[in-house]
Amino acid sequence: MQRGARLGVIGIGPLADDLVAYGAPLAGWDSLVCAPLDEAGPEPAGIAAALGAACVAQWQDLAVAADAVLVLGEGARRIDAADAMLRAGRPVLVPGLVEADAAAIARLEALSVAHGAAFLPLGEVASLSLCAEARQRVAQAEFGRLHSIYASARIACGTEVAALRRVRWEMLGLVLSVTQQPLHRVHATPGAMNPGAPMADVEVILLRFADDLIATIELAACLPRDSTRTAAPEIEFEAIGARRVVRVEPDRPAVRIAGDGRRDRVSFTDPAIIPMLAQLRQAVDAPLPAASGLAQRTAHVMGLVDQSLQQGCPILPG
Amino acid sequence: MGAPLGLGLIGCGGIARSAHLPAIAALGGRVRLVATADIAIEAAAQAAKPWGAQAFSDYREVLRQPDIAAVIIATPEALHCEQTCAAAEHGKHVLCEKPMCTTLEEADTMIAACRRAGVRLQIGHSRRFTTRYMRVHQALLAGEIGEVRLLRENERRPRSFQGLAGIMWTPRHWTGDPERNLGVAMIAGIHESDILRWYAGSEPVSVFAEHSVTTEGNIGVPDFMSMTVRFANGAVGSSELSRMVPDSYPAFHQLELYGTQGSLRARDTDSIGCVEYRDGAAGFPAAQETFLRHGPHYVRQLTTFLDSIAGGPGPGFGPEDSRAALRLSLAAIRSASTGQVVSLRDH
Repeated sequence: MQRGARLGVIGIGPLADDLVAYGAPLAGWDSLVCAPLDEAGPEPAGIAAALGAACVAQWQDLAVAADAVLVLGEGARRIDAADAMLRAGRPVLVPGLVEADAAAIARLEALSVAHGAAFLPLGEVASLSLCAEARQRVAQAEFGRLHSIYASARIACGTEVAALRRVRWEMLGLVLSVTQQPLHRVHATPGAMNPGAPMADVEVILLRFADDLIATIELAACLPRDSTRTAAPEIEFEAIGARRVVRVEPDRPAVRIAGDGRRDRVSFTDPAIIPMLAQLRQAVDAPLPAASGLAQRTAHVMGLVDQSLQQGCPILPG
Repeated sequence: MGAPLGLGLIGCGGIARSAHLPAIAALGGRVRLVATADIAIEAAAQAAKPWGAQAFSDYREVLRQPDIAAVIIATPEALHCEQTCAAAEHGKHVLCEKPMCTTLEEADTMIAACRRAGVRLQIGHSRRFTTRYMRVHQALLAGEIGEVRLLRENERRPRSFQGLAGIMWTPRHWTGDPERNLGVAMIAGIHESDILRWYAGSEPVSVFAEHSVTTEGNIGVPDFMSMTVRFANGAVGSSELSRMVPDSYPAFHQLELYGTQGSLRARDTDSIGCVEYRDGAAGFPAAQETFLRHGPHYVRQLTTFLDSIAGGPGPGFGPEDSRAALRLSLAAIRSASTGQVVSLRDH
């Protein structure tokens, strides 16, 4: 059994809310200490109180006060925080690091090696237990050659464009996690749920890989506002192999509540933050794992999708 | 009720056996199968036998029968233009399987030939007659979700569909012959091209597609495709088609529409009505009956065709719509073959 370790949590956000809602001790972690990223309000202290944790004023203090650090919040400051914690030799988990380009991630990975501290830029969707199960099955020999992937994420209408970008990072990460093949072609089509809207809130992305694997990724802020509990996307993932198909809809296991003017869907699967923190806990004691390169690839493809959206044509990487 | 309308059947393969012959039988006294034709004379004879109809290996013999008023053409699409034009010259109304044909020039020739001869031409976009798709269209017409902005229609078929396991998409079957089959974009995707356009209520302006060959033994006919379509009204359509999922796969269609005032879903994975559990596995024994329901919609299709011959209202779409669906599928194939976005504005 692993000894207890101190978990530092920087910043707030939906994953911090998930931790609070989880309402159970986190396996392997002896204590928690929280710190704001750059949030000025009382929320960080509130989260800490809800978790029964201490709250320090500055995240820099966690370099000493924690054995490993979870970096939440939003914005480029997350990169600064990850950078500082890695330099202090602390394993770092940064979920959905959409703010970083491939070069920034490469720098953090180099710091990880230099200071012997794991850097885990994990995707929230890919870390969901059902998605992890699907990824394992796709990797098995019995699955056969992977021919196609369909992945969609729907979020509520009117959600800010940045949310769609985060969802894109998550879904690209999920798709790229099941293949190491180089990309051959990238094409993205934008759309708008509101005619005449200046910003695209629909993206349909087609990826063709060197082995002829074709991935279709549909992202849209299209769900009626009253049908989602939070900003969490509604996910569908299907991989078709030569011998098997695996299909995942993580939102299916849920309590559905309908009332006057209200329709909620409350998932009862463990939130992604729980398996993510299990990985971070392992990283405290385990030898430094080799970087998967997944986050770098994801960031690279994010850029290619941006290019295709801007130019209105397919992009040939490299 | 008057005398049954004399009907000829040209092509007696899988779709004729599974869909058209049962529909003819269901319409009992309204139609009478007079003659059948297939290059495999045994297939023609088998289809003809219950009706005491004549069977030929040459379709032109069917067209020479004076008591035939209309023909159903259920042959591969490469033959549709020649056979439709010949039928029109003989004054026969035509219900022709989808896809309409293989080129836009052929489509124009077919439309012109039938117009010139004063006969009806209806293309078998059978999905427009299924309860599911009809109800979706009714909901759209009623304004239930406002203006459609995002459409998704994915289609799956198991490898052994229609008893063709190990044969379909291989050189042992016409679907595996690159000379006679342009791929899944035509065989199945023509439905999606038609449905997306129908529901978008707008013409496609561009398409990007990727396709691939996935079936063992397939020598180069694309059996997987994913396409993204932009419509003139700004809507975006997406369709992904695979014909090689395992038999136990529980779904055929995943339809989702998102509009300015709501969403509409008719997904098979949400609609599984019967599950059979066995040690180590689960199956969905009624999936095909539940989701595809060949019976009712092919009967509706034939009824509408017969009604229109008798001067009644048509199916709500004409051969020009079928041509438009063909145009989209052909553009998707061109896009997938070239790796480029294909514009449909100037064609």
